Amino acid sequence: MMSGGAIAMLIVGCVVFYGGLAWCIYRALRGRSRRLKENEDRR
Amino acid sequence: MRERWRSRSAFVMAAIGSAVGLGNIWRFPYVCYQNGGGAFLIPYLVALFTVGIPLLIVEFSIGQRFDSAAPRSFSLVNRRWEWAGWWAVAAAFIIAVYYSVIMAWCLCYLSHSLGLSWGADAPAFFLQFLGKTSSPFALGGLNLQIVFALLFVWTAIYLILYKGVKSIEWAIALTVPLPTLLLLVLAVRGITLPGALEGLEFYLTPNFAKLSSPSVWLAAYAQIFFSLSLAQGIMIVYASYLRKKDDITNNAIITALADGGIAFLAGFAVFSVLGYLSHTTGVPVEEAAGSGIGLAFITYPTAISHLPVAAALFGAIFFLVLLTFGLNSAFSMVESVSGGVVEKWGLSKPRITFVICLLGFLLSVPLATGAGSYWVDIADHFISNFGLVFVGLMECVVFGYVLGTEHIRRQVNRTSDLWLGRWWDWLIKIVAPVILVFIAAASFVELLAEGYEGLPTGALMAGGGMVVLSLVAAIWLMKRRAP
Repeated sequence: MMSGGAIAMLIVGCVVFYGGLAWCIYRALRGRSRRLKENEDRR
Repeated sequence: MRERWRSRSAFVMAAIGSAVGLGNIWRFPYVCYQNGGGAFLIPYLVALFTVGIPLLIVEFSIGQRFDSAAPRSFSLVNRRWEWAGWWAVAAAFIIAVYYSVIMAWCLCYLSHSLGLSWGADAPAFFLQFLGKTSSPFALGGLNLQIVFALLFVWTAIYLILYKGVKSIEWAIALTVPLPTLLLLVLAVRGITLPGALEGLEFYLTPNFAKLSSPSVWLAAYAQIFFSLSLAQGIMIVYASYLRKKDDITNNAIITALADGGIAFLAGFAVFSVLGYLSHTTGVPVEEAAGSGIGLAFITYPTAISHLPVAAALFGAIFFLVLLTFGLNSAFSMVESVSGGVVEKWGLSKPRITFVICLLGFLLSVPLATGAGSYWVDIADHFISNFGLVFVGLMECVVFGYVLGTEHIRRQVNRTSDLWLGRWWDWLIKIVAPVILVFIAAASFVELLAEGYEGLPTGALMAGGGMVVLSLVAAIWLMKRRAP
């Protein structure tokens, strides 16, 4: 079995790398849909 | 009219493809294990956010601002600094030459893995495969298998680049997701093997006492700096194909986190298999663990041989992962070179790409001799630890002080989703240069005190000569007149 410390660092790594990546991609997609909506409104 | 990326995701994928290279697979897991295990994530993340991402933002914004590769970008800030851009390009070219040799080894091992040709003695097989001589100055014979593999690698690079951004987009659609998925397959297979958890225990167990050692922090900053393809003009030339309204900050964070995430995942693929090797052979994980060429061509093949089922398949997957990640990085380096040359002399891009690939192939052929592995190691050590670090320092000086971080910050904040504050100016003007000076100084002191890998002084001087030669070539290229 893995120790508690190793499991904690596993969680930290996953949250920062993959969670952070998912958050940035979400922001990018949200920004894109906002821009598309603005373009539609302008039309 | 300048070419543009078809979409934001194409640019991000290309940047990730360039950043993720062999170092993510064979260097990060071992550096992590050596420097406090899971606790290393703390200095690694600090380094990522204080130097890695800020410098990536500089390179992205400079490319987008000047619509140019590194030499012209430096020149547009001030004509006198053009040489620094050519130095980045020269360093990228040297790295592409020896990188292609490692990729050629991977290609040969990809075919060897189908029959597990290394048998029970992977170290002896590797030495025999290379025909390794006793000294860097004893060339030995030319390995034709490696020469043909080199021809394949350079042809692939040319075919990916000759049509410019369009063909790069086509290539990255395959060469970024495919090895990432295959790496995930390797990690899942590794974790399900007996003894894997003991291996992961070595990789992740935090040793917080190590964080008080400056060398651990230096290792983290060096890992970040070398891993993100900084100071080679790559990110500048890629960003030069961005549109003026495209985001910079979020793209830089996505690139950096994807690079770190893939390296973190690679740790699971590597250490789970080392745990399994330890479980089956009784060799302790700390003895089996290693990095670089030794890990890829000796330890991992040994572990693969012990797999109960589909050993050849997993061997082939591992070398395919290395080959494709390496190819992404290699063609981005050549793009950095061709971008600089095309802009200065207005030559046809397919033609100049062909000339660069031909020159790269011819220069890599001598590295297919018995002494080749020595020179790959020497070039890597000197160009990374000194060449790239000096170019990075030049970037901080020229873009941070001569151009001014405030101008860059204003430009970035106009189009970016995430806002940069004044703190970012200090990271570029103070923190990054100080760290880079420390990395170069530590490498130099270590070189003087311990030498490098027991190599003779003449070979080390030749390594230093490569750095000087790249600088002389940069100045010479600057002085050539544009038509």
